[in-house]
Amino acid sequence: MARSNRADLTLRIVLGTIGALGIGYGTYRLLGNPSAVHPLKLAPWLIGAIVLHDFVLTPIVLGVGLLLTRFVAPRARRYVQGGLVTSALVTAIALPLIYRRGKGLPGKALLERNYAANLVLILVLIAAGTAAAYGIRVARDSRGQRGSDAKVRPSVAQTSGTP
Amino acid sequence: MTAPQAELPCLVRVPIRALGHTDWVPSLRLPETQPRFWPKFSSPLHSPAVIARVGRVLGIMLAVCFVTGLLSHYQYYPWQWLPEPASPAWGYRLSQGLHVMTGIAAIPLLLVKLWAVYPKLFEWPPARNVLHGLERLSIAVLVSTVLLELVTGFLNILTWYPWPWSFVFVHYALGYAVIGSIILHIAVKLPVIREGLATKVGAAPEAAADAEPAPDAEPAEPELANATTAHGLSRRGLLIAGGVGVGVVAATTLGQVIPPLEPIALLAPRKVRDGPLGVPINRTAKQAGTTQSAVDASWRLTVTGPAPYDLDLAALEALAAVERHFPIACVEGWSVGADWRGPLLIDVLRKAGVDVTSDTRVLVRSFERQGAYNASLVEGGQLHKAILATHLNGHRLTVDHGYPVRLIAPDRAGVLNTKWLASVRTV
Repeated sequence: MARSNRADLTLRIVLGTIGALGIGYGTYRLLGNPSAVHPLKLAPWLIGAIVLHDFVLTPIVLGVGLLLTRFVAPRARRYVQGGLVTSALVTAIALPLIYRRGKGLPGKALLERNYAANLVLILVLIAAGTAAAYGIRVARDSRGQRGSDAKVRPSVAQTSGTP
Repeated sequence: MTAPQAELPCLVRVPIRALGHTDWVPSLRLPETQPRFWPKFSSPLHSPAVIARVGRVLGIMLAVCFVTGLLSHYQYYPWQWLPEPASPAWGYRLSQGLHVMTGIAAIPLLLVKLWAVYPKLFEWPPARNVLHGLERLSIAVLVSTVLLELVTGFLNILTWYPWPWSFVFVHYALGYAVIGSIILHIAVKLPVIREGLATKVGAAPEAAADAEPAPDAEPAEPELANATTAHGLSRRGLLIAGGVGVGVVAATTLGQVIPPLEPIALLAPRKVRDGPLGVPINRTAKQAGTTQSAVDASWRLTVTGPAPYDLDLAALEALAAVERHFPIACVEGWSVGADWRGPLLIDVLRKAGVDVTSDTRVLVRSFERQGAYNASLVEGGQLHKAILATHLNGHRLTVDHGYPVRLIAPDRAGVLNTKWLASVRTV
């Protein structure tokens, strides 16, 4: 026990040193090429990334989550949440593509697809998959209900699904 | 047995605590409990079991992304004593495909990870001691650099540069900061990570013991907590939903690297087969300013050596030509296999009396006046396999593809296959 703790501490010190060196080298390269990097122009982007993610994007996501908690029935909410998580992740990738569509020069075979239509198609498929999973759950629950009426057994809803 | 155990945490904490208890920063003393306006989080999804699992996959992806990024950097800046190899011919196709695909797929995964750890942002007190404060600062470095690194990488493959600095420099330097802060993060969180991975995803939140001392203990809001625990998305559900999101993103973008997946490549930036002659263009003749000079009748390829000579296109095509299937792989992540035809570069050099050895380095130069890639060095194994291509996929090169003649070599980053050649010479 003591030995593994000591090995752990050594590992953590080694990793921590390597990590700090990596950060240091990256910083050195950023500050060492002021004409290409423009550290003062880069800084707002680094800070902006945190601000946009932590104080704009995530609060919106949390707000949607709160609304779902308030207004969607518990069993359905699980599936709505899951479907929305998947949809949001795909949408995050699709939005820049939609915005930049058609900006590629001829011959580059770049940004030529109809990304908005493709995103809608993907979202419809996700919604259909989510609805199907929900339908199966509803059907199982009602069957489990009948089963548990006959024999005294925990229903499917309690043995699987949410922790 | 117990002595070293008790000693270990003290190694780190005692001096720091002592520092914190001195009175040189009295104004930084904060109330022991968080203020009432401070955000509270009750979802059981923000658990080490989820965070460690997502983090493990994300860490592996970003490690692959970093290493393949270095391999790509090496294509552009090789050490002279260790030239880029020529085989496997698909080396760069694989490594750069991995770089761009892991980078894209890491974006949705990062969003899940950051959401899961979001309550940590509102830890109370914000810093328990100097070391803890530094650790939180390193998290800020991690979050900010990884977000910017992935976003700039993604926008680069859309050829979108809405920032006032050099993408290449910043993306390269940030890579070290990203991987460094990840490794540091793993070092700091190792016990929590172990604990999280050892906890079953489905375990009740009470059982998921927080390995850290719990200043961030879940605030009491029992109704809401119970509601989400009993009925909301489960931890497994979150992992499935996130995994499907990442999977869909990967599946719908991979088609620009793996041609059979093209039909479902709904979100791939490139549609490779739509390029002229089935190969996309990276830099067009118009961009390079070579539209006129490419079709100039006075064009000659100048070969420098002990017996220098010039070749017009007819003379070049009269040389013994070889046909090779080399993939062309762009730094922007797309790649496609193609059939190239033309004389071997070394045959052209030998006709000028050049003694081609394993040390020979050849500079091929374009008649493109400006541009970072209007010349490139060919050396090592690549030199012996390089072709001065006049034909692509059975057709004469188009002007955008580098007419009259371009370089093509195996396992070579796309833009280093110099187009619109004007001269070749040893250096």
